Amino acid sequence: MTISLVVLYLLIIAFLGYLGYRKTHGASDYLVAGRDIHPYIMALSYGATFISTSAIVGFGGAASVFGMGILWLTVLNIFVGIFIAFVFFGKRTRIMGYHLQAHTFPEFLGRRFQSPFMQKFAGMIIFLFMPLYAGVVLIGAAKFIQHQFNIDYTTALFFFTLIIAVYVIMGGLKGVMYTDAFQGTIMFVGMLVLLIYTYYTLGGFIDAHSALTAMPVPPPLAAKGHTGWTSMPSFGSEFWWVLVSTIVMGVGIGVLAQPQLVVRFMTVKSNRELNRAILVGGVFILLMTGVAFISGSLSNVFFSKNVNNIEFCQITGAIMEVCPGKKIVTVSAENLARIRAQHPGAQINDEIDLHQGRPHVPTRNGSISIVAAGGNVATVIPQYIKQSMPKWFGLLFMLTLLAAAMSTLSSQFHAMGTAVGRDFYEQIVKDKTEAEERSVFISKIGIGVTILVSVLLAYILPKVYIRGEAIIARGTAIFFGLCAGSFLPAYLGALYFKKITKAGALAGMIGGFSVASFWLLFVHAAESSVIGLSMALFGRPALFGKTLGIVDPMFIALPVSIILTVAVSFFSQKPDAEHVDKCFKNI
Amino acid sequence: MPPLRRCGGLNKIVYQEVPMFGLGDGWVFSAYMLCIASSILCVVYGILKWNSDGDTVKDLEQEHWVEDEIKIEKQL
Repeated sequence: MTISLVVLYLLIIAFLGYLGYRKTHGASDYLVAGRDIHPYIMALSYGATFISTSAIVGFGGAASVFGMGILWLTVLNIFVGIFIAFVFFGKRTRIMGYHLQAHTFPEFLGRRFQSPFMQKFAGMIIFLFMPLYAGVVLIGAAKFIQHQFNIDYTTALFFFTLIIAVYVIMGGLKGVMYTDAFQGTIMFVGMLVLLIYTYYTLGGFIDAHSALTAMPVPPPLAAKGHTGWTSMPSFGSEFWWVLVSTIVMGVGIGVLAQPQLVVRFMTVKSNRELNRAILVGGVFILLMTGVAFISGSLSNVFFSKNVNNIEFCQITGAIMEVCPGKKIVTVSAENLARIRAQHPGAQINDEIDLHQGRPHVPTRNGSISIVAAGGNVATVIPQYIKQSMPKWFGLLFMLTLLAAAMSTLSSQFHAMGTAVGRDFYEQIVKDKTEAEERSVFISKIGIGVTILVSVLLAYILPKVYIRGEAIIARGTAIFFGLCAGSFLPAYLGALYFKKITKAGALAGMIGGFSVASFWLLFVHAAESSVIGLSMALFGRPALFGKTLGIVDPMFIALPVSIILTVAVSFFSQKPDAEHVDKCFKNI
Repeated sequence: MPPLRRCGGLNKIVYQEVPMFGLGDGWVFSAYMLCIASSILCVVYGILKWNSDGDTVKDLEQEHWVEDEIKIEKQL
């Protein structure tokens, strides 16, 4: 049943891809198709690309830890990611993109500021760092398949990547709009059902919220600033900084400078289509991230009350099938009582092998979501769906996630491939005719390489971040933060400020990128301690201590980038007036 | 007025006021409301501007751009 449904789904995708491919093979066909893109399709295509498994599985899982404060990200997703992006960025990007004949985001910036170097530099950032984002999207999908089919993570990752690779190679890059719209529709239905079912299972809208509000906060979470799942973490605490600076601001603002999304603005006929797309997009994003965050938070009520009478491991508190088993666990105040039941002499900070060959002892006492999921944030949503919903919904949701991942990944691979071929290779080769011919080949190699790197990251990252840090949410936030720090001031300047100069935009871009990289490598403890460069060079996992170690890179990089862009523009050579007039024509 | 929740009583049904839809603090309540408000803003904007902002770029320029785009798409 499951397999046949997945096969049917893939056949529909293949058919739509073929349909799109057939309709776009000729120049005039493309023109007509391009002009006739329905706003519903445009909006769902943008939304389906915007929302990936990362948003649903990764951030939904993060919501189970941080609680509903993460809904501020949904506010920004809709208000900034849709409304501001379309009204204030999209419309100008579309018109300026025509005048500049730009086809990629780096090309747009490079041509606007008449700087081939800027195009190469932006292309390089995309090529080097987008695999991280693609990697965590892959993790999200593979984790869900792993739990849905009870198979090994590596096998799930392998098969999913194979499907994606075939999809991208077979024409996913050409007929994306149709498949995106179909996938968007599935996502729409899947998330709507999840929302209704979650509230229904937990006794209704207000009772579900009240039960979540009444839940006691475990001491280890309280120590980090957690005040409850329906209130914000205490101001200035570790949790507050991660939630506000990394998750809400980093991702919420970073979306404005996402290369694979900016390109979509340049694919519609007129601003009227953008206006109409805002209507669909606003509702779509609410149903995606809003539902994922609400369900993720409310899953705590479901697991701790053990609504469906699931068997938990008495020792670890995890659902039996995801219990870490023989993993060595550090004893903390939270698990001390439970561990002492089996190991009477256990002390806080002891490291013990929990199961030591003992069989699991089942209990019906519930746990909070993150404990129930065996300490792994990415496992919360897959397990919540599996344990709470009927089997048919698990299947629908799996298709939702396949859809979310495929639509995001295809555009990511497309953006990375063109970054190598068009933005980098074509720019460094002197003979333009030869460059144009070979750039396709180079783009394809670029796509191949980035798929490999992304899969490798998806394979390695869960092993490195074994303790259940929200790796999917973090990986996404890092990329969004880097994009915001590097591109946003130049992009905003390109669209709105005629006086921003080439030198100013370049200074902001390079400065923002450098600061963000430095912060990631040496200051932001969550990354710097894993990367290890700070340890190797300075003998400590993060410079500047704990307080600055939790401030997100974007928080520092974006202001630096803005200041550099404006300041250098004041003192550098003014842009060519004729070129600027051409850019701003019709605006 | 805050919503009412029906609570069990021995002889009569008691309705209890539940502030902020049962959510724990004003910030989260605001976020919940603003999510919905932002979506409504998008819907209203979309409806009001449904037919405005027709094409402002000359067809010629657009075709030129699209032709170039087709060439690249074809190559890819």
